[in-house]
Order: sequence, then C-alpha cells, then structure tokens
Amino acid sequence: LSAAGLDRTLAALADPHRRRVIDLLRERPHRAGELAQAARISFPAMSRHLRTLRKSGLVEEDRGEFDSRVRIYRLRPEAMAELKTWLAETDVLWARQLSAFKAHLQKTKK
Amino acid sequence: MTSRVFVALRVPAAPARAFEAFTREIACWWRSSPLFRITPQGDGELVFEPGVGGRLVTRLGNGDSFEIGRISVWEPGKRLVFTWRQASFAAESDHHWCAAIRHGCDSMEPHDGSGPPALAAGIVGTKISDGYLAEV
Repeated sequence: LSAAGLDRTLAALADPHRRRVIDLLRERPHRAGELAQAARISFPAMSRHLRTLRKSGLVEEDRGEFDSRVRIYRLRPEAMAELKTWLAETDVLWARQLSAFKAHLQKTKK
Repeated sequence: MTSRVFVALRVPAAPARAFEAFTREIACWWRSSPLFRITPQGDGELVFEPGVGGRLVTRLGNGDSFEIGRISVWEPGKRLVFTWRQASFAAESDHHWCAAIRHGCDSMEPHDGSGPPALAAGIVGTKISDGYLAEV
C-alpha cells in the first residue's frame, strides 16, 4: 500500500458517518438513499461521504440492475485487505525491533 | 484520527538502563528489514540527538545522513516520543509516523530481585489532522 493510498484510506475512515457506511456495506450493498437514512444525514451530505469513500477505494458504485439511475454502493474488500496487511507488517517490524532491543539488553547486562 | 499499532514487551533492565540502551545504543540493536527500508540506500546507522527537539538520524554508507524524525518528549527512564518518517513518505505530507517508548510500570511484578523490570512500548501512528501524534 503506497503512502498516498494509506493516507486516503485512513482519512476516509476518520469520520463516524463514513465508518457507519462501511459497517452497513459489510452486511450487503446499499443504495445511497438507504445509507443516508440509516446514518440519519441528508442525501447531499451522504453523497459527499460516498465520494470520499470512492476516491479512497474503499467502496465502489454500480448502476442498478433494473434502473440505471439508481446507484448501488458496495465494499471493495481489496482496500481493507491492503490496510490490514500494512498494519500487520508494521506490527511485525516493531515487534522484531523491540525483540532485538531486548536481546541487546540481555547481552549487555552487567 | 490516529491509527495505531501497539507493540510492547518487558525487558530485563531497570528503566534508566533501558532508556539509555534504546537511545544511545540504537545502532547496536536496530535490525534492518526488507519490508520497511528507511531509505533506498538501506537503514544506515541510527543515532538519536538527545533532548527535546533533537533528531533521530541515520548515517548512510555513502556519507549522507537522513532525518527520520524529531524528539518531542525526552524523559530519561520514563518516556520518549519521536516522529518517524521513511524516505518513501511524501515530503510534503503533513502526517508522520510516531514511535514511542515508555519504561516502568507499577503493576508489573518484580523479576530477579534486582529492581523492577522495564516496559518498552512501541507505538506507531499516523497523524491525519492537527493534533497529538500518538498516545503513550
């Protein structure tokens, strides 16, 4: 995950309404109107949040199967998987470094 | 928002010694990792410049040095907080990674009778907006 991509993902998640959208989309794809209603915010406000989430790559939109004017939003699991990988790798890096630090202290113990 | 990865372990040393080893002897214990290279030329030799405002730099084999971060808290034997940036991070980016170490914990049991064990905690976060970099 690039630094810029990571920034976008974390920034997108740094808002309670957008995290609510992520939670809702985990259950199933939703229409924008459904998301606005569930999050109790206006449709234009939800549109702005969805735009941010789309740009981050966390969600994608499709046209409705029966009505092309309807937009359906769904999660893109790849983006979340990349974030999880980054967190895991970061965790491993620091765990290794602190283990090396501990070994150094044991070696130099007087 | 701050995203955090928390890593902690106990180390067999008194807090003052752990602090000294973490800072003054970082070049002795730091292990380079292919996953997180500090610079494209490698990790080099890490050095802390002691005190608040001091830098954490790495000296590379070609004579160059790279500033990894700046120290915001320097409390020997207690706490150390510094920002963390690798060469691959965008220079104009307004967020940094932050790592911190904390030593000493009252609730920890004594080890071999030579004093309380130290707790070393590494915290890595990403600063998204203005505000505190990381909790310690």
